[in-house]
Amino acid sequence: MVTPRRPPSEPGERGRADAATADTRGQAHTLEGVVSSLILLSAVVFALEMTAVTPLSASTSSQHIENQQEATARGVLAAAAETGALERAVLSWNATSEQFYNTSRLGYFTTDPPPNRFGEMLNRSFNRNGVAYNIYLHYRDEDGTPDSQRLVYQGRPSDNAVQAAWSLTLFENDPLRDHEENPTATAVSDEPTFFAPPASDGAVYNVVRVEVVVWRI
Amino acid sequence: MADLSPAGCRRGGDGPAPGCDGERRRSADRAQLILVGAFALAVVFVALALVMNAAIYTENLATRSETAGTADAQAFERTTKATAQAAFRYAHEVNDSGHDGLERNVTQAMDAYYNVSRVQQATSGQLVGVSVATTPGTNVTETDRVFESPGGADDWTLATGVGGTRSFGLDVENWAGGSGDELWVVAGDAEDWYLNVSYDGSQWEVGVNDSGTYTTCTMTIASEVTVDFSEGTVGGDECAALDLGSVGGTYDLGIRNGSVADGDYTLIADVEPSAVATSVPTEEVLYAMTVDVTYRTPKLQYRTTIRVAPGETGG
Repeated sequence: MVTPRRPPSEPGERGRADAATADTRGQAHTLEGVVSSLILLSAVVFALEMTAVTPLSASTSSQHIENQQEATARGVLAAAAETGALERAVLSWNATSEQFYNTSRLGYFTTDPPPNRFGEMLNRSFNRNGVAYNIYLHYRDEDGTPDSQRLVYQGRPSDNAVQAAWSLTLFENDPLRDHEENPTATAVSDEPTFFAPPASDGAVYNVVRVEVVVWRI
Repeated sequence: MADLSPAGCRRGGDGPAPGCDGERRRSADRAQLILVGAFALAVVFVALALVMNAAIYTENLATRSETAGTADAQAFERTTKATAQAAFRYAHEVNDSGHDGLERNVTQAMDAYYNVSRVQQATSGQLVGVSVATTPGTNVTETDRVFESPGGADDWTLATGVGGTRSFGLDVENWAGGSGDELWVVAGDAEDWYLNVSYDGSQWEVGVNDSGTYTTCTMTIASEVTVDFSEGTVGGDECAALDLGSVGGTYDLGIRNGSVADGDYTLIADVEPSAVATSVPTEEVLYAMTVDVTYRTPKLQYRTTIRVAPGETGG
């Protein structure tokens, strides 16, 4: 902004010159108004984008960790499904107590992972890193609606929890497993206390969707 | 507003110093401009903060796990494949009622799987589709017998119109011919493709003639020789020339000089039992099963075909 230069005025012209200076200031006042309105506007935009940052709030760094946890969970499930450890863990059913082997009275594992191969894989992947996880088994109920059963429950997941799921098809002649994961003489379709009822009359007994929910503690 | 006029021109007790009048007017103008400049700088800083924020947020978005969910589609495909293989195995274990019964068995199994997993996938926002098609086949297995036809012919056709075989194995156990005799397994015409087995009294020789080019697979000293056509191995060792898949189209599968040796053979061919030579024991099986899988989310459409044919070359 260039202030207009004026020729030096005589003392008699002083009042006129003052009025002229006051006139030129109008432009600066306008600018001042425009810029201050911009400040207000940008401050409002900035404030709208603000969120409180807490140790558990989503940020770039925690996003990386979540990605890793999700990939690890999916990898554990894929590996366990490939080796059959997942199926053995799901079929490790105690018909007498009508719950999984080695669980507490709750019927699911809380602090420790299941004492089998799948549990070892979970333990190696998550337990040492200050990470908690829940495992739910989703299946089809007698009336055709989805139902679920807890296999591991370590608490309520935080907002930063991630999940991975893997489906497992049980056939009617799949044998139940004992507490050491060895097959028993009882087929899954012959065990009325098993958590999932038969979903069809044919070869497929039920489809169990194993869902792992992982979060940092 | 602060008085930013030079100290020498400040208003004293006896009026303004001479020459400071114009100076003060210009300084007063400048003060306002400095203020406007400061405001502008403040706006720039806020804008910079916004840009920075947007950059961090962009990085956050970019590092989020793949939003299209291709890994879940892959997981569904693998689960479906495992189920299809198990259903195929189950049908052959428990059902021996022929092609129709086997087909019904695998179709029902895959339908049941689809009905349950469809709902489970829909709860997390995916639409899936599974449809099954089967190819009928025939299992031919003979053990401990001379490789001539049931009627006693030396050169004979085992099966006609064969398009593919799986779990095809030949065990030559005892040699009854001379050292110059050759046992051939012929696909189509002998000029197109044949496998040759011969024995000179101490050593077996196995070779393949493919369109006039003869390749020796192995020379081995053993009591018997095992040829796996589907795996492409002779006595467990790989033989690149042993590839029935290189014979295009459909062909007749036959044996020449069958009387020179005895042993076992087994194969599953994609033909009806009527295409196999009479009096040869046959069993109706499924040659292959294909499962069309579709997986849809708002961001992804995934489609693949799973083929189940255990023991097929390259399968």
